[in-house]
Amino acid sequence: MKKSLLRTIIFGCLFVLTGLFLAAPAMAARVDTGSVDGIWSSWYWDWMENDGNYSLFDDGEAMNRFDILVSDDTYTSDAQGWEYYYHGPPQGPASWWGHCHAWAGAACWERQPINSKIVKNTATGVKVKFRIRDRKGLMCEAYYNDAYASVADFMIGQPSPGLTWTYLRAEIKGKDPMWGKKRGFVGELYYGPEVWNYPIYKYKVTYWWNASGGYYEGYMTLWGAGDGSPSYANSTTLYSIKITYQFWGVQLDNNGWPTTHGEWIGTGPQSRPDAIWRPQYPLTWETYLGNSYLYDGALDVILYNK
Amino acid sequence: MGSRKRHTWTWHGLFLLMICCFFIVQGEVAAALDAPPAWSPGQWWVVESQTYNTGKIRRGDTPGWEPKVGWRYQVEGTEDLEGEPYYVVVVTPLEGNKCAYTFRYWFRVSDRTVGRREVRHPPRNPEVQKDIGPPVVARSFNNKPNLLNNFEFPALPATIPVFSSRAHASSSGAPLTMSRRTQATTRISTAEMKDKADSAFMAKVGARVTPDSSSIKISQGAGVVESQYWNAGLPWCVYGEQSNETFTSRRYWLVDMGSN
Repeated sequence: MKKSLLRTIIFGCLFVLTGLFLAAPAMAARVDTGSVDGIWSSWYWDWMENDGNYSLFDDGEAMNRFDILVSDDTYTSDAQGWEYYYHGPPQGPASWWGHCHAWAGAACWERQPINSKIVKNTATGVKVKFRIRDRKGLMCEAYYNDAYASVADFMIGQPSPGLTWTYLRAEIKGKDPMWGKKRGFVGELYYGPEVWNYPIYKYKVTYWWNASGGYYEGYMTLWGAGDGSPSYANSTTLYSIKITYQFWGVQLDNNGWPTTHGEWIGTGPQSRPDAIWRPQYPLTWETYLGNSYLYDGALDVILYNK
Repeated sequence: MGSRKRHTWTWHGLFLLMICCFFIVQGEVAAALDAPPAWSPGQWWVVESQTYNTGKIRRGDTPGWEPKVGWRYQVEGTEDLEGEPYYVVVVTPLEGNKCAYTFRYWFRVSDRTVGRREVRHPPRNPEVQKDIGPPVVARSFNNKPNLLNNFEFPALPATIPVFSSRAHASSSGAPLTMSRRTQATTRISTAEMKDKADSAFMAKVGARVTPDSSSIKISQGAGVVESQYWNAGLPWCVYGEQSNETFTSRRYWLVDMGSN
């Protein structure tokens, strides 16, 4: 009786251990990561007035400085006035309205201005200092009309986990980049009516096999450059935001590419991305420009890196 | 009596089941297109496309269709890829189209499967703007549809059916995979085709229109469906639209054609 009980216990333990041994590889979490360099932080330049944060139309900010540089006795530039009217209080903005889509596109394609620059108008002799934040602000303004499908490298609304992961691997990890080398792209990372675009520069997918479901599930963490503080505009530090989504139902091929869409878990604004996209690169600063007082010749000089 | 009734109902049920199966199979087994459109070097056509702005990416945008942009397709010639002849078609943006790139697509002569795509893009001033990389970026598809290709350059319609007598995969009963491509063809009347086409173009090319028109749905697997209207006498679909699960994201019309 005792022997039989002992045998049962031993075989039972062996059975459980064998099961655990065999299941271990499937239960172990795997990690897929990728990152790109060159993405930069800024401020999203809200449309609000007198809220304690600076806006592109404020005195002493980028548009005002541009006007001072290019105006002369016969020509009065009014980039500041244009900005105030079209990207400012007269439009009745909500507090979250700003230039995040424009900054996010610029941060994918353009070099970060890393120092201030004094620019001289040789005709008038006027010299104007453009700080890092002015130069970033002008880039953001130049990219204002970048968020249309007609000028997009790609633009996917409400992407599934499988599709998001595919683009992360292709572009951020550089496994199949459409421009031949890895590059960041933009994520509208909050699901809901508000729009918060960020240039994505890093990701980590932690996933494991769900044997009963026959799919992978896990967490997908995205890092985007941040635009949450006006001070970011004048800094060259990469400030980041991080958001983690949860998913299930993704199957992978032998090379690690998702083959099924899967589903996001949760319904809140931070449960899934609203869109992933990237503008085509512009050939000139005027390609996506809205502000009719800005122009290539002056922007080339101000944004020139030497 | 009761048994005979049951027997009769069983036969009725089986008959109904057969009819249902017939229609289900008709709907799901993709009919092959008879032949690819006739292309020849020097031939060109113009497609106007429109993309839909969901209003969800830029604050304050209202949802709606963006302005139309034009693309000119020209058959440059033929080239062999892996021992098979392909038409090389150059696609260039027309005036008003902000796309700065030109494209070359290799469509297999036998069935128009896309085997390769090149994007040629002009250089930028590296002192001012970040380097983009090599001026020509090519992607080979090696007879496999590329998932990402469904989403790249959303304003450029470059998806067409596979014109093959081979049966295409049906999606029935299989899990939805992102890379699975299926297509289904329905014969339609000339009037139905013309109803979708650009009317000015139809007036111009009326004599070339044949009685053979088709409506084709190409499912890209990734939740993207391309619906197109073809006529056997024309080189490209007269109308097409791309839809995903929630909305139509792109539509396009054949608006001109000719030969150099």
